[in-house]
Amino acid sequence: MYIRTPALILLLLGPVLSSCASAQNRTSGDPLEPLNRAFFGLNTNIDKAILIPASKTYRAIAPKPARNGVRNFLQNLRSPVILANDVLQGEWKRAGQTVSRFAINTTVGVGGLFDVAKGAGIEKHKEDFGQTMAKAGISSGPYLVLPLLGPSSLRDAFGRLPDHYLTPLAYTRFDGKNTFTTARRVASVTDKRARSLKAVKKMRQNAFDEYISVRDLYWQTRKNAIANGQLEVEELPEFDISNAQPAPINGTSP
Amino acid sequence: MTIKRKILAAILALALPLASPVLASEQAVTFVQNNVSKVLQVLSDPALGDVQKGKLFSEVITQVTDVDVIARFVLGQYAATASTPEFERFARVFRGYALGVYQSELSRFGNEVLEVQSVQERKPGDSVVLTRISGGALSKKSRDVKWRVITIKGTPRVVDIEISGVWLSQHQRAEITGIITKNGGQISAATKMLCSQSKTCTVTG
Repeated sequence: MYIRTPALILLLLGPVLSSCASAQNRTSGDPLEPLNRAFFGLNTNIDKAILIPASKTYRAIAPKPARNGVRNFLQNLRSPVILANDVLQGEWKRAGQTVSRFAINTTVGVGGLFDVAKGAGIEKHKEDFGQTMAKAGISSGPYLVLPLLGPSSLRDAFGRLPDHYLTPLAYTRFDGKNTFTTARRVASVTDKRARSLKAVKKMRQNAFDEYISVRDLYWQTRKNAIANGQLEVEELPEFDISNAQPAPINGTSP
Repeated sequence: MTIKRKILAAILALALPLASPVLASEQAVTFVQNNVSKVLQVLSDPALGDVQKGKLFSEVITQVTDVDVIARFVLGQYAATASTPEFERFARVFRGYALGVYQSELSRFGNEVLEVQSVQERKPGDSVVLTRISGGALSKKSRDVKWRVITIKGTPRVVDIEISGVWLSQHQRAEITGIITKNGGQISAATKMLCSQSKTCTVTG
């Protein structure tokens, strides 16, 4: 029943998502902008009131090696989800890397606290079910800002559910499971926010409209992740050079 | 002999179509190798004061990019309807803003070594040069940076830079067209917004 659920979701949502606007059609890909802006405002307030102070405290009390250990541990726990999506995408080489990283880091890396595999030249990568659906040709659908969870798209928001069922934790039962799950989520959010403090501050200072800036950053980084960092030159936009002036000589302005 | 010839012919048949775009992109690679290193040198020169560095950076960046082409690009669909004075006002303010952004984004690099990894040709005169910046302040880490190089009136120019999966000019276009749309298609709204962010804004209209 559990295993069949993601497949059923895909079956039901595939045609709906496919008919939605594509990721490249960015400006028209936000029909829910008023609602999204409301949730964006809510998330920003939560970020300023809770996440930023918590992240700063975390940075202050936990030294960098400890924070790296937490990050490595959390990333190692996510390996089964990454592996499942590697396999679903037919990325066998990357699946091999995920297996090797998980095996090395869980054993030599003391339960994932140390990223020994990286030192051995096996670089980490991320995958999720949203990316798997994108590889299968399912379009992103409209842009969404999820309360508490942040920027997403219709496709990627639904992708979170199968990802939940792709982790072994969903099928295991043990005392304190709820506490462990909650602690993991809190640690994950705090760690991610602590690592992005400087970048988000810079973005907020420079953005003309923070909402638009975050939306574009989401689309661009998401597209890059789906392509596994590989450049798709044919998808780059055109530059109009028909009105360009001749090049300046010796660095003088045209 | 016949087999050897056949193998040779097959190799040539495979290699020749691949060789042509590489040759066409060589100019872009040389341009990035020579000029981007110059930009990084200016930004990392400890002997230069902030004012002197800014002035020199502005001079070098003028040789490396074509800000007017980028200004037209960031206006998106509104570029087609912009009058000449309207565009000129916007481009003048955008120049100051863009220089600040490039300086801020590139100043994260210093004495690093820029190494060209590969080049991909989008079409003749339009290539993306993939580089890896390493050493210096980055220590053992390295950063991949992509440079979109377009040949404009016979001269290569960088029109976009991708750092950490984000193309700067594309990002600026999203922001600027967003402002214009929000203000009923008024390009002057974006000009005023850019002006408010610039210390050296001289727009009068």
